[in-house]
Amino acid sequence: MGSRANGTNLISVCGKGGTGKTVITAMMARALLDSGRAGRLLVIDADPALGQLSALGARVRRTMGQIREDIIRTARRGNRDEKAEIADKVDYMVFDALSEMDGFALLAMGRTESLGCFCPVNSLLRSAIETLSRSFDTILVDGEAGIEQINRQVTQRLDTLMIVSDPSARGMETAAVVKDMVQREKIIECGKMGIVFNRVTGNEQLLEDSARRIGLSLFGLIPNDPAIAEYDLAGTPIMQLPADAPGPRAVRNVVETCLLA
Amino acid sequence: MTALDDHIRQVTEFVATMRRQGRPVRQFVLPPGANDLRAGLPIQLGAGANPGIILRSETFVELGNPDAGSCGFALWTEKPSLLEDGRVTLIGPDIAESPLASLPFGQVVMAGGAHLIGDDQVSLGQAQVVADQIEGYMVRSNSRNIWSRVSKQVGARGFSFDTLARALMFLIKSAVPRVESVEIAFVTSSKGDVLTLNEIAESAQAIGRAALKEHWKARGYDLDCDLHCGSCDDKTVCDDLRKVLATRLRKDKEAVGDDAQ
Repeated sequence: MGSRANGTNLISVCGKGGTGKTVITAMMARALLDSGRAGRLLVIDADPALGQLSALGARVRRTMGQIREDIIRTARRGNRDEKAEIADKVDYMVFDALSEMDGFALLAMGRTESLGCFCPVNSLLRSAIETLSRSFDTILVDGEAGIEQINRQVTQRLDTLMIVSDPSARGMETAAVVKDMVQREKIIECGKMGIVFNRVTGNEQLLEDSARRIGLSLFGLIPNDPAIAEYDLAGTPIMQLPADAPGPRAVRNVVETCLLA
Repeated sequence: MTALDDHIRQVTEFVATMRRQGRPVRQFVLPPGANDLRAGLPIQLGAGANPGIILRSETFVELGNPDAGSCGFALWTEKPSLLEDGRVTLIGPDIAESPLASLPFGQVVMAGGAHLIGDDQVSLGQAQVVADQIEGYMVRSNSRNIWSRVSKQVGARGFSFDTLARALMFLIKSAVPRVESVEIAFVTSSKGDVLTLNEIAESAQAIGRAALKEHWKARGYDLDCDLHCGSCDDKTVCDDLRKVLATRLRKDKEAVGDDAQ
């Protein structure tokens, strides 16, 4: 997939489950759009739970998981001509899965049903996503709890990896594991990497020290914002939060200083 | 080369039926020479003239969205006299008459040449769904469907079916010099009309696929042969080479990491 080397700024958000990755990604999308500097923005929801749909107020016609199933079904049961046609159909199917909203586009990875690796299918889809992605200036990926899925399905290189953690020991442990996977195991190429603490209610200095201890840059501290929980509960898209609410304001600061700087 | 003369006659009959049923049918004739076709076009033509995708927000007119219905196919004959070179038939509204609309889309490219050969069949099939060679015109297609978007930028410059037909005829005549005459029919009147056209497409494509297999068979290639790895005598060799490739990729990755440090 593209990177800044060929003009695309590729940002991925990951971290322990329940830390607020989806909500933060949605607020980042809003901040990127409001900045006027993101160009064409593609949000990729790589979480099988498809949380971005409600956070962004979006609908998708098909997920990449469904396309993967179609391809596997055709490869298993289709006739020879149908199988031969798969390569020609992939770009059409991926474009069909692209959901276009006001100012940005969304691609939902969705769930994979078929057991088994099916590496060739994943490679085929990744190649199609890469082709599609070249048309965007900024790509924001809301990842699963880990980053393996991003590596497998979406990309091999990131400009920025943002690890989201809550102010808990377990959140920090996950962040440390992700950092090790990237730096030591080279699971993915990454330009810069940092941590964002979510739902912060104090102890800022302690969190800054914790980030330093595990060797991660501190991208920002997102305060606990009751409006986010209210929107989440009511099913109101997070993107519609007032720009001056504490959460969106803090996220905008992260976007301006760490992603667009 | 197996000709599809009967299908060309069916398209002619389809146009006559549409006219009888009161659809708006317009016909015009474009000049035969490639240079004349290109002269005065308000857009660029050629490889890379339309890199990437056109998002909905950038779209002047969308043609053949999966919900609206689409059908695209090519027919050929060894009797150029069956066709009137340069003739364009438009059933339904033109692009310039439908700003911001999403129209159903049928496209039939009919090419004639006394000396057409089997390879030309492939070139014609590809040339009629050029994905990136017409500025401001994006195409996603599979064997039956053609989904395209005209950008607002070229819409403002007067992009119409006249423009599209000129571009397609130029590209086809450039790609397949043995083509002596080209006719194109566009249908945007209704999804039902496009589906009717699709019946001709299905039959023509079945004949075309069979002809292609025969063509390759005559050259010593059997497109129906079983090529899966499990039945191949060289599977062990390929497995070993895959391991070599994996090792090489890992070393490359490590080298990049070492350089970065």
